[in-house]
Amino acid sequence: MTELVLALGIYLAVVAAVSVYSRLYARTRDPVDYFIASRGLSGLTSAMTYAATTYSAFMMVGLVGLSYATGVGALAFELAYLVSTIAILATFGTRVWELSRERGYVTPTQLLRDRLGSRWATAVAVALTAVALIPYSAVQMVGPASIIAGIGGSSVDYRVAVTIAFAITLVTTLAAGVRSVAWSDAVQGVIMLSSAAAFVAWLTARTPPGALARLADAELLSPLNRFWTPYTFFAYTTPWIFFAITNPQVFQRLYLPRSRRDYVRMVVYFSVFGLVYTVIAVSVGLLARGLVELGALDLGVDLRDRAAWNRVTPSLLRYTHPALAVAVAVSILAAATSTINSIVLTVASMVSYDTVVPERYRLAVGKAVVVLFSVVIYLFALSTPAFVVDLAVASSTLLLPLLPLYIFSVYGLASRYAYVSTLAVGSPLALGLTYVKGLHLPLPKEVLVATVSVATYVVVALLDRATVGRRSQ
Amino acid sequence: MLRALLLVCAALSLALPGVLAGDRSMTSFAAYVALTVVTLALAYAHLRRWAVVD
Repeated sequence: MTELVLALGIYLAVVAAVSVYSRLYARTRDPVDYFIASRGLSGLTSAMTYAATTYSAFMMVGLVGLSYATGVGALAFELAYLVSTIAILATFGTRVWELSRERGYVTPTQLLRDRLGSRWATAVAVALTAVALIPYSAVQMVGPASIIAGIGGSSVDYRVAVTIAFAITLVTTLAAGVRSVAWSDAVQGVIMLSSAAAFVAWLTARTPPGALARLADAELLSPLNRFWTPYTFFAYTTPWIFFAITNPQVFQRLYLPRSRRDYVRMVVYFSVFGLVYTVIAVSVGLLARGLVELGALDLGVDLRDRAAWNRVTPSLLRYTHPALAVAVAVSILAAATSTINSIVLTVASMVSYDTVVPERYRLAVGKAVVVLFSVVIYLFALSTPAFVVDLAVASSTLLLPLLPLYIFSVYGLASRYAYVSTLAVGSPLALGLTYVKGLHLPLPKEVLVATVSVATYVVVALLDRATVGRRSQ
Repeated sequence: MLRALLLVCAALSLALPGVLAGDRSMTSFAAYVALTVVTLALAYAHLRRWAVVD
C-alpha cells in the first residue's frame, strides 16, 4: 500500500526535521536545558507537549472501543479525568511551578528528595516509576504497530512499524532533549487532532438520523447503565483523577512554562485540546455503534469479549477511504510515540538526578539511560512477554502509592518514615490486588490502594511529627 | 475562597455519578455537565488571579 509507506516516510521525516531544528535553540551541554528546556517554553508549546504526552494511543483505540461498548458513560469517565486534571493544575500545579523555580527542581522526585533529605528513599520511587512505566510504554507501541500492519493490503510489517516508533523515540529524545520532544509533540498533536476530526466527520456524514434513537434504545445515552455502575466508574476514574500527580512525565511538564502567564496559557490550551479530542473519540465510538445497530456496518466485534473492544477502530478503518485509514493509523502511532518519548526522557532525568550519578556525568548518563530504556521498550514491544502486559495494565494502580508523597511534600507534611511506610504498604498492596484474582472487594482496588496509601502516610507523618515535637521539648 | 470553591465543585463533579446511582435520566447528566463547566470556569478564574503576580 503506497499511501501508507509514503505517509510513514513523511511523518518520520517531518518529526526528525523538527527535532533536529530545535537543536538550534538548545544549550546542548546543559542537563537542565536537556531535561526541562531551562524552564523556558512558551504556553502553546507547553500545552501541546502536555496534551500529546497525556493522550496516548488509548484515546483512538481504547476510548473509542469503550464508548462503542458502554455508551456515553465513557464520556463522563474521560471528563472526570479532564476536570480533575484542570483542578490539580490550577491549585497543586501552580505551587509545584513556584517550588521548581525557588528550589531549582529538574525532576519530580527531586522535590521528594529535597523535602525528605534521603537520596536512597527517593531512588526507590524512581525504581517504582520505571517498573510501572517502561512496560506501559512497550504496550503503547504494540497497538498502533498492529493497526498499521493490519491495514488492508499493508506493505508495512509489524516489526517495521515498531522500529519506526523506536526510531522516533530515539531521534526526538536525543536531538535536543525536552525541546525536541516538545516541538515534535506539537507536530504530533496537530496530526492527532486533525486526523481524528477527519475520522469523525467521515462517520457523521455516513450516519442516518435514526442512529441516535437506536443508541437510546440500547441504554447507551445514559451515563449510568448496566456497565457504568458507581463501582465501575470509580474503578476506572481513580487512577486517572490523580494522573497529573502520580505520573512523572506529566508532573515534570509543570516545570516547563517560562512565566505564570505561559503556565495559564498551557492549562487553557491543554483543556481545549483535551475537550475536543475526548468528544471526538467518544463520538467515533457512539456513531460506529449507531451504524452497527442500524445494520449499516458490520464490525464483527463481540461485545462480551473486553479485548475485542480495542478492535473497533481497526475494523472501522476497513470501511474508510485508504487515505483516511492511513492518516488515522499514523495519528495513533503519533499519539503513542509522543507519550513514550516523554516517559523515556523523564525516567532518564530521574535516574540521572535522583540516584547516585555524580553531577558532571548527569547529561551523559541521562542520554545513555534514554538509549537503554528505548531499546528495552523496543525489545518488549517486539516480544510482548506476559509479565510486561500484566505490569502495563497495573501501571496506573502501581503509581497510586506515590500520590500522598507528592501532595504532602508540597504542602509541608514531609516525613521520611511516612514516605517509607507508604511505599512499603501501598506498593505490595497494589501489586497483590492486581495479581490475585477473584477477590470480592467492598471498594474498587484502585480506590482501596489510594485510600490506604493516603491514610498510611497521614498517620505515620503525624506520629513522626508528634514524636519529634516531644523530643524537642 | 475561590480555591476552596473550586476544590468543592471538582470533588462534587467527580462524586456525582456515584450520588446519582440508579438515576438514568438525561437531566442528571445535564447537571453533571453543568457542574463540570462551573468547575472549569472556577479553575480559569483562579489561574488568572494567580497569574496577575507576574
